[in-house]
Order: sequence, then C-alpha cells, then structure tokens
Amino acid sequence: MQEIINKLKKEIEGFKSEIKAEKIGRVFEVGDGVCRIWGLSDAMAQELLEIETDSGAVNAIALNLEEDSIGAVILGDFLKVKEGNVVKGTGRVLSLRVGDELVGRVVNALGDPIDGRGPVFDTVDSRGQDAVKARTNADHTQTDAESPRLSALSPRESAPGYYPVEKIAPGVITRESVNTPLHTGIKAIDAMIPIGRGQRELIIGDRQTGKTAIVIDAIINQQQDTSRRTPICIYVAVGQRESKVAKIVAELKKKGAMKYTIVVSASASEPAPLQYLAPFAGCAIGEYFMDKGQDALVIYDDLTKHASAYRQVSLLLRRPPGREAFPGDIFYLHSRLLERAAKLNKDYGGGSLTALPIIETQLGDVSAYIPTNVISITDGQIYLEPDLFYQGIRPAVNVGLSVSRVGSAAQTKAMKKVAGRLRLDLAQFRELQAFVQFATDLDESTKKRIVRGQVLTEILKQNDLEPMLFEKQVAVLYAGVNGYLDTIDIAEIKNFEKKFLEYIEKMNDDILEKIKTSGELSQEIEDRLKKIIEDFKKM
Amino acid sequence: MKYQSKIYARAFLGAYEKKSAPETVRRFLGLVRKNGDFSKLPKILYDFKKLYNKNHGIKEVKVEIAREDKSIINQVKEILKLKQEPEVEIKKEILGGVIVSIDDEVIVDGSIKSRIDNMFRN
Repeated sequence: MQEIINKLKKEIEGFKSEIKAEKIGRVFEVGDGVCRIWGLSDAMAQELLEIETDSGAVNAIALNLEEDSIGAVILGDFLKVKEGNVVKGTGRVLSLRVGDELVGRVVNALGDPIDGRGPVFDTVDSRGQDAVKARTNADHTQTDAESPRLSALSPRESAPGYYPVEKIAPGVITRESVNTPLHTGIKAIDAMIPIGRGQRELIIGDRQTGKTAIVIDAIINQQQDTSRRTPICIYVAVGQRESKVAKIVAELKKKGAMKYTIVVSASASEPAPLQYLAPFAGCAIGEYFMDKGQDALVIYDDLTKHASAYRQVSLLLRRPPGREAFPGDIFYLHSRLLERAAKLNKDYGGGSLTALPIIETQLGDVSAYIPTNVISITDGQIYLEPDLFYQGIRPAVNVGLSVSRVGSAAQTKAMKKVAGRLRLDLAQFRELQAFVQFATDLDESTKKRIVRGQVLTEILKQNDLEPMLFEKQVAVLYAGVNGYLDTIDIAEIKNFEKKFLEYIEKMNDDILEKIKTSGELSQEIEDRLKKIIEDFKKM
Repeated sequence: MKYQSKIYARAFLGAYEKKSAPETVRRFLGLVRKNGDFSKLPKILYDFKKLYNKNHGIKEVKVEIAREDKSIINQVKEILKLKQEPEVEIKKEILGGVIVSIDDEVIVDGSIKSRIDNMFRN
C-alpha cells in the first residue's frame, strides 16, 4: 500500500502540465450514432475526435467535412453526448493496436477483448500512454484496469504495433501474382474453384445455404495443411447474432483452430459505426501479419450487412442516397477494403493476405446492387444455391456459375490433373441432366456420361466440419474421374470413399506423403494409385 | 429557390445594419416562414452572430470558473484586450482554475479538472 502511495506521490511531483490554446467545436445535433459539429475548422477527414461529455470522453470519427460543420460518427455510447458538448480534434486517424498477442482472442471492432480473458496486451507501450480510451457499448463489462488499445496516430508517424484502420492498399511494385494454394479442404472448391494465397474469392448465396460453413471448414483445414505455412485466420463477424459468433468460436476451439485464429466481432447489437469499422479493423490485423512475411486469411461475414451499416451511417449523415438507398461511395468502400488483399513479393517479405468476403443474396438475386459490386471487385466467386442444398448436395456449390480467376495458377499439378477431367465431366453431365429420367432409352455413351456425372456429384458431397487433406482429395477424385467408381451403386459411394481412404492410410501411407511433398501426379505415382484402387475394389 | 442559411444571415445583417428596428426582425422572420425555412433558424442565428461579430470586431469570450473571482476576469479582459464584458459561468465541477473560450472556436483549458484528468490518463 505504502509503495503505491509513494509511487503516486512521485508521479504527482513529476507531473507537468501545459496550458495551451486548442481549437474546439461544439455538438449542435446528435442522434442515432452520429452528430454534427460546429467549429473545428482544421479537422482532417477520418480524424479521431474526442467529445467531452459529462461522464467522460467519447470518441468519434469525422466523416463529413462540410463548409461550416462536421458530420461525425460516434464510436461508443451516443446517449451520453449532448448538444453543446465540446469536441476536440486529436490530429490523428483511427488506428488499432496489433500484435501476435491477438491470436486466439475475440475482439471488437476497436481491438478491445470481448472474450472475458482480460487485456490482450500485457504492457502499455509508449504509444498507449497517450492513447485515447474509447468507451463502447461492448466493453461496458470490461474493467478500467485494461490497457487502452484504441489509439490514434497520424499516417506519417505510424508507431510500431499500431496499424491505421484505413490504409492505402499495397502498390504494384510490392506485389506478385498468386502462386501458393490456400486449401479449404472442400473437394468441390479445391478441385474446381481453387483459391490462392493473396486472392479475393467471394462466397455468395442465399441465407441458410452453408456460406459460413465453408469458411469455418477453410479455417479448420489450415492446421492440416502442414506442407505450407499455416496462415493466421481472422474471422470478422459483421451484424451477426452473438449466439452464432459464440457457436463459431466454440467450434473453432473444439477443433483446435483458435490457436491461429482471431475473431473480430461487431454483432447485430453494436452500433452501426462499429459494424462499419469491423472489416477494416480485421484487415488491419491481417496486414500486420502480412507485413511480417506471414500469410493471413481474412473472412468478412458478411459484407451485405456491412453495406447496410454503412448505408445507415451515410443516410444519418445526410449523404445523398443512390441505388437501393446506398450512398454513392459504397463501391469504393468495398473495393478499397478488398484491394488490401495482396501477395507481396520476396523483396517485401513475401507475406500474403487472402480475403474471403461473404455476400448474402435475397432469393438468389445476384443482380442486386451489392452482389454485383462485390462480384466485380473479387477474383471469382463461389456460388451456393438453395436448390442444390435441398437436393442434399452439400456444400451446395453451383460449379457452373462459380469461378476462380487467379486460383488455378496456384493449384498443385496433381490437383490440376484430376480437376481438368472433373470439370469437363460435370459440364457434360449438366447438359444431359434433363435426360436422367429416361435413362433407359438413351444410348450407351450418354448413359455412361450420366452415371459418371452422378458419381462425381456424389464424391463432391462433403459433411461440414470435415475438411479433407489435399492429397486424399486427389486420390478420391482420381478414382472418380478415371471411372473406377462407375460400377458402384450411387448410395454406396460415400461408404466406398471412406473405406478407400482408410485403406490407403493404413496400407499405403507413403503414396499420400509423396503426393503431398511433390504436389505432382507423376507416372510412377499414378501407376501405384491405379494398382491400389484395383486392389481395393477386389476386396 | 432554396436559400442557404449563410445567405439569409448576410441579407439580414445588411438590412439590420441599415435599420435596426423590431420591424426588420419581424419582416425577416416572415420571409423565412414564407420560404418554409423555419427549421434553418438556429443555423441562421449562428451564422448571423458570426458575421455580426466579424464586422464589428467583437470577440465572444466565455469564462468558466469554479467560484466568483473578479481578478481573474479582469486579467482575461486585459490579456485579450476585450472591449466588452465576457460571459461568465460559475462551474463548480471544474474544481479550480479557469477555462476561456473565444468565439466558440478556440479554448484555453486551465482548469484543475482537466489537469487531473490528464494526469490520470498518463
């Protein structure tokens, strides 16, 4: 006790304060998370402001700089802000404290922990000294003893450990083309819609079609893909139910995936400005790992709700509404966010940031405003269809409409070899699908094609939370595209696949290892694989 | 044609400088109502005040102190070379010291409360 008092005394003695004139503004209108401010004539765009309320400071970001007023969004409890409150500028843009300590944690859009496991960072670094503490709705439960993580810094004096929430994407000089695969563990995706590290692949579909399930599988699969660096996964939940986020975190923990995952959550109950910031915060965390030369995977779940949150903020700030009442810069909002996904070249550390945005469509309407925007920004899309989902084809990927524009460059040779045939067989099957009902009246070759298509469709079915290793996928698909399964009853295929993989694992483990290390399907491996399949079928 | 509050303020100032009678104010308010711009009145008033003060070289100074103290107010007047009396507000919650705000745009915060806040923040 005495020690604490002495320490305090010392600090009080050493405390020096200067009084200086500051520019101020005054709140003249407040409501629904936004406020308008008179004064503060030298405020910057995106500057972090501090509103002095009766019960402490509340932070805000200046979004609208008008002729004689400023429109700002309040980060925190806007009910505390009253007309006439004094507003001070900080001269800095919003930034986030990042570090390896974040891994395994659940944080809100400002980087404050919401998993009840105490502060993320042990120490308050020099920047944290003058960091501004933001009181948000979400951190009401947190203790005041926590170190402040929300800080502000000017773009020029970026302190180590702090990353600005808004940042210009890496330029052309720093990038290289996508060349390393990011395996999701889902056969349909890894074979036909491959994703590379540094790519932006959209996952689009109606509600309840398994969009989130795909990304969760992708996160879980990263620990299995041991031949490559494990990416740090960042799951950004925007406008989701808290229960869903809790369920996902529990699932990731159970599967051991939280060891390399960070969850950024701005749930449906949080104010719109925080929902608007969350993807940018997640991206800033991802950039930290990318700049360190590591790989990162950021999932934005989902950008439809993000667009709605931004629409709310924009309309409250009285920006003119455009199509579907979204503001004019909604395209730029998403393009600048997704453009930050990159594969850096060796000179810049060789890190990568892969983005998997999710878009929820209404009744399969992909021609709505936000879906078309994000489709045009990303390097391809995985289209999920409710019809397929109800037919029992899960994941309900429509392989005809789904594309990956850059991922094939990153696909392993082994997978390329089997996937080429797979795509062709399935395309032919789709054309003939209408004739399935009168299969008996068809000629032999058409019948064969239909059977092959049915077999392959069956192979591509996969339960969620069961991502499959890439080398196993190659073995199974090899058997499928080469017609070894055509004679097997459709209903038996799942069973065959399971037993076949068990057989390979137990009896011929080295072949999987060979496919994994070489990434190729050489003649020698192919011959052995053929022999294994034939031997197994005889059993 | 919609008029901006700034234009209203400038026009009103012109008319008011010529003839500062209640009649001018009444007519101005009538015009604003006719144009359906009554909701702009607070903004017009704010702009008018700003323009008026600028034209007349008036600094609107507000002094906040914890308790009545003539000497502080006199000092403020002297330093800022004020022609008129500053607005004074007694605010016990600032604990001590003085906060001077000029034209609602610049603030000099020398209150004990903000200094304590600052100390705890560091």
